[in-house]
Amino acid sequence: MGAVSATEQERSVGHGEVILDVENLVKYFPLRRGIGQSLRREPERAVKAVDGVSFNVKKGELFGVVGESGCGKTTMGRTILRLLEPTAGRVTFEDIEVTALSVEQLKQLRTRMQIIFQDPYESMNPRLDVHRIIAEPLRIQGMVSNSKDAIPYIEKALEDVEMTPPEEYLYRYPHELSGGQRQRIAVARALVLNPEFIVADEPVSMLDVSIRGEILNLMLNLSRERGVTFLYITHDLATARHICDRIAVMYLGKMVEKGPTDSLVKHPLHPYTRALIGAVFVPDPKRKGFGKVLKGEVPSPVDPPSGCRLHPRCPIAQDICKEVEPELVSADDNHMVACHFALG
Amino acid sequence: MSKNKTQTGISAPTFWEQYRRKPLGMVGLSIVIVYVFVAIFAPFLTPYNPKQILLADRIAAPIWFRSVLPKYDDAPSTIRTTLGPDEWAVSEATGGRLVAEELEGAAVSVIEFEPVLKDEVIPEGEAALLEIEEYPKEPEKSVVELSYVVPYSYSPPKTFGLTFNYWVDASSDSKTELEFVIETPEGKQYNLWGKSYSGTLGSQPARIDSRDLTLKQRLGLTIFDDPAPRVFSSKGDYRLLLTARSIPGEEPTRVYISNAEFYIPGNVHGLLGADHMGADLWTQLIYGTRISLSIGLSAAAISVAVGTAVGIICGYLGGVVDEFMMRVVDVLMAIPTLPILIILGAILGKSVWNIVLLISAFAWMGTARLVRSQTLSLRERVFVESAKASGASDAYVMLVHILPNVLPLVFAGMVLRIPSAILTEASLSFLGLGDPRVATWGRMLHNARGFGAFTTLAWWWLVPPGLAITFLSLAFVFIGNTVNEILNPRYRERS
Repeated sequence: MGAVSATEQERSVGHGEVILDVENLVKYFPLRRGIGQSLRREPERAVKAVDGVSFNVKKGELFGVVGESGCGKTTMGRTILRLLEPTAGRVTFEDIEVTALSVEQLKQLRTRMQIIFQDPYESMNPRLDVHRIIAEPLRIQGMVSNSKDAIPYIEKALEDVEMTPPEEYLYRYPHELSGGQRQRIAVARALVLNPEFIVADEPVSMLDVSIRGEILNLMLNLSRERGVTFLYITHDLATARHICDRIAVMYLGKMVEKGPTDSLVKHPLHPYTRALIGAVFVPDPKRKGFGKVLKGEVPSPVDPPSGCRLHPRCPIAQDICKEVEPELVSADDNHMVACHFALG
Repeated sequence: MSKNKTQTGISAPTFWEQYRRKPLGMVGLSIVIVYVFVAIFAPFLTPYNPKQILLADRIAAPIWFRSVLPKYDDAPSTIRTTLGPDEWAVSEATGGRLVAEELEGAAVSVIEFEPVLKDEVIPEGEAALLEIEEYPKEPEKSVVELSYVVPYSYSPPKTFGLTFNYWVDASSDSKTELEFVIETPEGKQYNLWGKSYSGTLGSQPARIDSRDLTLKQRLGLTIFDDPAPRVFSSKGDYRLLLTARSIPGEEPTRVYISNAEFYIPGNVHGLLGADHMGADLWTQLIYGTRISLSIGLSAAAISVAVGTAVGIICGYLGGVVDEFMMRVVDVLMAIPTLPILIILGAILGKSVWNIVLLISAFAWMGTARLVRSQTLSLRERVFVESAKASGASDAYVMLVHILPNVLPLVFAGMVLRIPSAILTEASLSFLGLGDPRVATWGRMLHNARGFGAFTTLAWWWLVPPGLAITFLSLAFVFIGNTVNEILNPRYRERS
């Protein structure tokens, strides 16, 4: 990740205008009850993947969402784009209420909001070539009538992701490309509609470390040069801190802490954030305390613990944590945390 | 990468490269190519068409039996001659002659007798009375005898026959007799048919058949005797004699005889003999290929298309549609196919396309289930979500992303469904529920069973359609299994 220098992070983005506003977003996946359970009138149970998340993303910003596997960050990303229907809550994109749109209106909005998926091996139909993969959004949106018309758009998108010369890649199939190339194609596909907002769902987790930097730099450049807003979802705090302007940390469907990257990384307030930072591998043999992570396993999101969701694993938990759920409160101007003891 | 293997597209050249290395697949393909060739070039492979009957005697044996089995050494092959004015020879003519005429495009033999010159014979006044008394004593019969020589060099046939139409144009005082006689090489004459009329006569059919009871009585035989072997008992030249006798009236008497057809059905015929109607079995077998292949292919294509559509829609949309269609599938799968096909076939009527539709209607469920299960996994794939994120509709996703990915699975299934469609059609035809107007293998077997091939052990009637069905089905099974092995390695154990 050496390509991303520290100075680049400390840039000033015109953070003012909110492009995406998420209010109390909830997504439950109901579990199927057996006949016996239905007859016994057992309550319907659900996986509480996202359980009341609120935040906003500002125009041109790179907003990171960090959390371990199963914390609901991917579900949240998809629910924001309404690839999954939210159980409750509201998503507003500029002044459009995404959660209230009809199918037809949603289709129009798709030109402005795109997504890059985690697995570049899975996210492309193996039966289509690069040309058709990138042209697909254009054709679906009716922006081109035939594949010939799409070529200038595709070539531009390929140049944007630094795959040059574009002609060399146009008619290749995904299995003929490397992982990094595939992910560039995925980015190109997301870019071809010229969107203002892109959800990047763990775009580098499946890639070799050597290629990660290239993709992250690409995102950074797009953000800087074209003003594309990114919601960067990752489990890797290290990559997030390199490119993101602000970071939110999620645990079991809840947001536990959010704030500007520097403040959050240098002065983590929530014990979970501290644990995450502690788990980041630093190649320094003299460093002590590495690997001191939280005890136990992540509890099931079907039955999250009462009170603060972290309390069974938290090193500083007290009785109040078992009963009262902490609210997200401001620590300083932009830094917010949901912990009873973080501020004391 | 490995997890994607079964869904990764195989290009046509790669597929062929793999296919050609499988010996069974190649055997199956060659057999099918032969069948397709036969079906396409059927008219060039046989001189007859499948609707022609009376080409030979009932259950005639193949012609090559003559050189193989001593019993058939000189078995008769079919003799069929059309006798028109050019063929008939006038062997005797007094007071008449043979004239060739053309009526409505057909040549007609006309025997023309000159009128009696009444002026000379019958004087005026009372002499007429005298004349009437004398008239029967001296009948001045005019005779015209037409003959035709049939060389016959076989063992005695089972039947023979002659058919023609005739009519008479004459004054009412005339009298006409017609007679048909066969003269053997030894000079013995068999008088087989005769009629006499006065005056004009409208068109009459003459159907002389050796199996006819009146003919047997005329020859003094009992109903259990067979005239044909007696008449054609030796080899040599037989003469057919058609004699017209007339006592002419005032006007000229004209006897019209349309083209006559003389027919001795052969006991050996063609490559595979003849059926109970004297139709050529080789022709039926050849044309049966067409029907079987087209029924097999179209029924398989229709059922697989329906199954794929239902499977994709159910799997992708899920919910109530899915539940309902899957229960329909369950019900249809639970119904025993053949009995319901028999009932529906009887109700809906016997046309080939009815049969195709019926077979397809009860063959799509397996495909639907297979495709549905595959769709259930495909719809969760990320590329589907990716298309949706670009605003793709359900129809678009189903057509562009799901369909191409289930096709390999479906393709092998379709090839394997062809033989079962062919067999079902054959079963229905064998049970008499096929289209009676077209020759199919099942129909051949049905006729063989119903018209005595089993009792006479006419294996040349039974075995070829059976083998044809067997080899074609086997070939498609070979191909289907090979395709399955290449396209769907996961299903290798099942096939």
